[in-house]
Amino acid sequence: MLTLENIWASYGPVQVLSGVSLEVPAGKVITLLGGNGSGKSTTLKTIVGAVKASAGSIRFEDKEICGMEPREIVPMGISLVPQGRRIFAPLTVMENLRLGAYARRRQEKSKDDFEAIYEWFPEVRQWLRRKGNALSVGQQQLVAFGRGLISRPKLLLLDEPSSGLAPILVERLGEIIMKLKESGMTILLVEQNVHLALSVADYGYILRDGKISMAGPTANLVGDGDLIRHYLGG
Amino acid sequence: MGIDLHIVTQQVVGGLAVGCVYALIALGFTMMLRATELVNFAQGELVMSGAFIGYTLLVVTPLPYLAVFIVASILTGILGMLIERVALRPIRMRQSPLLNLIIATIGIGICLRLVSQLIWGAAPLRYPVSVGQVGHLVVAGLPMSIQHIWIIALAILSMLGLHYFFERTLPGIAWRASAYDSYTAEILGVSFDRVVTMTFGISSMLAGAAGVLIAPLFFVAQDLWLQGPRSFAGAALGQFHILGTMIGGPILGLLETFAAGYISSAYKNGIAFGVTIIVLMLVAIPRMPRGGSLVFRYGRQSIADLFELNDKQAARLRYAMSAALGVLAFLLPLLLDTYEVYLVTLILIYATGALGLQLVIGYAGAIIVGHAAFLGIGAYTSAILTVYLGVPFLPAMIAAAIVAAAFALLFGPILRLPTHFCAIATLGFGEIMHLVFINWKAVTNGMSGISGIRKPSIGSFVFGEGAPFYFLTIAVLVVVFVALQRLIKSRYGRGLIAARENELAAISMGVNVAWYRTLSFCIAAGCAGIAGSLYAHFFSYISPDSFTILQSIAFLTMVVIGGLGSFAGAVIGAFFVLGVPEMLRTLAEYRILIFGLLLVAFMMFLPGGLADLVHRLLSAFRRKEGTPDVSAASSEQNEILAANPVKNNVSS
Amino acid sequence: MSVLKIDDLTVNYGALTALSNVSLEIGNGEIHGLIGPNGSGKTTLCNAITGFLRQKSGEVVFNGQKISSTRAYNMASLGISRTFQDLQVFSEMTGLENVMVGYHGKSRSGVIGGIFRPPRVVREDSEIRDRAYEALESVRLAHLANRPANRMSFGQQRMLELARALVSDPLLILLDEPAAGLSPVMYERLTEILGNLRSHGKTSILLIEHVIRLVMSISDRITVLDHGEKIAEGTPEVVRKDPNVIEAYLGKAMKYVDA
Repeated sequence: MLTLENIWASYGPVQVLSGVSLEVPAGKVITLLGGNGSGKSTTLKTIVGAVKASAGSIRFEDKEICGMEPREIVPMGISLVPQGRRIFAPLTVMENLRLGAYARRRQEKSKDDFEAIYEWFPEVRQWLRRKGNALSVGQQQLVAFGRGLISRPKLLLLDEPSSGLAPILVERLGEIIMKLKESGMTILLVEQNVHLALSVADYGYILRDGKISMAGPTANLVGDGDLIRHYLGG
Repeated sequence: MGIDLHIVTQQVVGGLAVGCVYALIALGFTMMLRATELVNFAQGELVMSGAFIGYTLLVVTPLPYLAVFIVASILTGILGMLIERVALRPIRMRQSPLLNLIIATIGIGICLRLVSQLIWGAAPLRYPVSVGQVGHLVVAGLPMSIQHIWIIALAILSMLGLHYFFERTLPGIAWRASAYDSYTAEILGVSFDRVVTMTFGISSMLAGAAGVLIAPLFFVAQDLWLQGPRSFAGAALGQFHILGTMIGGPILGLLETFAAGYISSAYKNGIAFGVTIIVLMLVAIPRMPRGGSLVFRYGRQSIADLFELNDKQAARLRYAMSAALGVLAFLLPLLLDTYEVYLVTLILIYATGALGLQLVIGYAGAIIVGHAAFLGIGAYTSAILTVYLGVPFLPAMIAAAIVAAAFALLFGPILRLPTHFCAIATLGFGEIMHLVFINWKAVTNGMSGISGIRKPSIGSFVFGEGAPFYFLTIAVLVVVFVALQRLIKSRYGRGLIAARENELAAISMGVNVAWYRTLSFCIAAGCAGIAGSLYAHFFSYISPDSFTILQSIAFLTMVVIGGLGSFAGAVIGAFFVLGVPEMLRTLAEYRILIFGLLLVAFMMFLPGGLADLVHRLLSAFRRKEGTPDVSAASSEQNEILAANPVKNNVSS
Repeated sequence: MSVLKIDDLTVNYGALTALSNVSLEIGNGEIHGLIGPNGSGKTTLCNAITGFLRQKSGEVVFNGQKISSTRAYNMASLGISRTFQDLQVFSEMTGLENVMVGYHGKSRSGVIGGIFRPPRVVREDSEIRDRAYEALESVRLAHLANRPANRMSFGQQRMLELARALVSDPLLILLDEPAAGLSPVMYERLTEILGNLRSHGKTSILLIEHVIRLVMSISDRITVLDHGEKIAEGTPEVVRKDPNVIEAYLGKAMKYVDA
């Protein structure tokens, strides 16, 4: 569904991605792991066009999308749930959700879209009039997922959804991802929480210094002692 | 003591009417700040444009007032979007600093003012008031002007419309989202560029609406533009929140009315600026100092570097150039006629003031729009001391510098404000000082000004008109120039430049950034004070009209066109700004239009100013000679990547 | 004796607690590592020490002096200097000028001196220039003394920042991710410079790093932060095996995987 080929990207003088290639097949959950500053988030930002790649190719459903703007890419069916959830604090939950469907602008079906979100997360219905800054972290998490799903994306990009979450919420997060997976959603999951990532994903890539340093089915990665060395050295 | 309820009611309704208009204008400022961190200095000129457009529609078409109100607002909105797309976006796309954008909006404002003068003339026009707008409505026995009620009603309707747009429509919600977090909005497909254009469109629409509403209260003329900066106080009072601004505007209107009615009407026009300055200084909460570069400069190398001279050669070159300039300066009175010497002397006086401004803008990275106020303070100080108190010229000139610097010290906290707030606050300072010059009659003699200021003398030598005064001026200029040049090469100068380049790092290295900036402001004011003293003795007569916003903008133009961060550039800029219009004397009327166009054009095409142009020509010449360009000379070239991580200064 | 002693430091951003009850002590000449996942409060701690953030409670004592309310621009003259996570050089100034600014806190002359240049000021200026040049040499950037910082490579700018922080002979230097984005060559140079500093023993270092192998190899002791709290402290060997640390980095249950 999504193919990255030899993607390079930099912030000013800092080279962040130095030739990243990876593949996300339809209906699978793929995880991208790596330490702080290894370029995981940048990879996701490059896919939606928020960061411009300096070289390489990104194909989504056989269409080249590298170089396009987010407002062109998002309606094609890619949705990014950003790191830290980034709910718009001064906006109500309802408004946050509506913005999830902004790029697509299919207003006529929006009622159905909302119903679908309530089916996923029934609690959300009760908070619709609440402001974003009145939500707990756990509630924000659900709203962020809702905002990402309301446009009915074909590909969901999750940027460290577990960051800043209490352990119990991490568990809930794992359940949500599993449910999404069962529904047939294609997901690219960037995570710091290796355990979570490996328990939900089919296939994993490990990013180091802007390059893919390891890849394989998650079953193989789990047993690999190299992983720890990746994170804590030694 | 009885209070006449009739009068109070009229005052309240009148104040509210003006205040509602302020709110509309201020909403434009607030929206712009929320979405882009920019203060649009052309907002007032858009109000003026709306008023003129409305005037033409009323006179030429049979449309009723209400329809004119709507059409004129929309047309002004389109004008605003055009300005953004044509002039500002190219500057923004180049990752220029906020400073350049602010200067560009000032230039755009001047252009709008002059274009309107070309179309509608400079004479104030009376708004054709349509039927149903005159007379009074009596409510509970109290008369209210129908016109005021119309204004209040339409303004409130506009605000309700805006509120509906923000709360109910998807683009409105998207705008709020982007203003809060433009990155997340962008990844949801809300394009920041479109939000910026939309912001310009809506805020200009509001300005246009305000213009059509307020014009019937006054005459329509270019000076309507001042309603813009004045309304900024409404936004400040509202803490730059949308709802707050809707309340802040009316409060400002009432404040002005009552202060004018019960305290003094002389300073009415200054109240808004006073409010702005006070509120900004109170609200400007200590913020985390910014990293990164405030003022992007243009990688200008010194001529010595360009030609790869060693220190000795560079020193020799400097001496040679100084000597050549010195000889030229010495011979100039022989080469020029009387008028030309007169003109050059005047230019040199302005250049002295511009040198100081260069220190603040070019090196400290702040922006001062009210520099002429210090010129005035210096001029009045010197004039009063010599004319009334018989103080000799030299001590009077020094006193002029000190008094001007003291004023700067008093208002020093302004320099701690972020760039755009600093600009509006200093503009307000300039306006307030202008009012003081007019109204503090006991000291300044009001509009009649002070005359009979004698030519300067040291001992028994009198610097009379022509060559003697010219030599005095050039001596002062050289002293100021050398002092500033030395200063900028000193420890203080390094600290100041470091603070401009990177406030965060400078503080960490031990630079007391706030104090350094305040000091630079004082030094700049001192230079202007010296220039003001010369100015007073040069003309023998001063009046408040010599120290207005126009002179302030002329100063700004000199510094910007000359080239930010170059003292020589400030002098060149003074010659350019005052000299070129002299050469095109037939175009005298358009002189100020030329300033405006130049400001915008330089920001768009040559942000480094004339100093940069000279440098570019020299490096082109250097390349032609066949020696490799210095920038490509190093073996580390491969390692050299783009400059700093460039942040989009406009995004929030 | 310790050069820096932090006691029960708590810092809030509005309602958010960025650091809670963190204590930390850095001995004379010690290299103290500070690690933790993203958003764990490392840079916040750095900003609190250098006076950019005000703590809610707790105390910071530097060299026997309470600095909890000292202004940020006075830290340099006390002997604290720092580098920044995201490169903060003076981009239009030359390499030499950049480093000269680093000596600002230790020098005196002001506006009047700058204009009139009495011998005292001329002496001071040439001393600053000499020291800056030496500092540039120590990071091997002397050949770029006259080049504006924005025409240096990323790695060179990092070294420049380091020289700028070292020129004033600080008692304590805070290095915020000095190794991020460095090429192998520059990385080697960095470890060499840090090694030299350690052998001189005059300067203590608080080293915040993402490149774990650098911290592990060079630190005397390491403090680990997670969610604004200290979760571990000790020598690199101890920290590396600490289950809390492994969990903070890899997520819960990973320890079973390792076993």
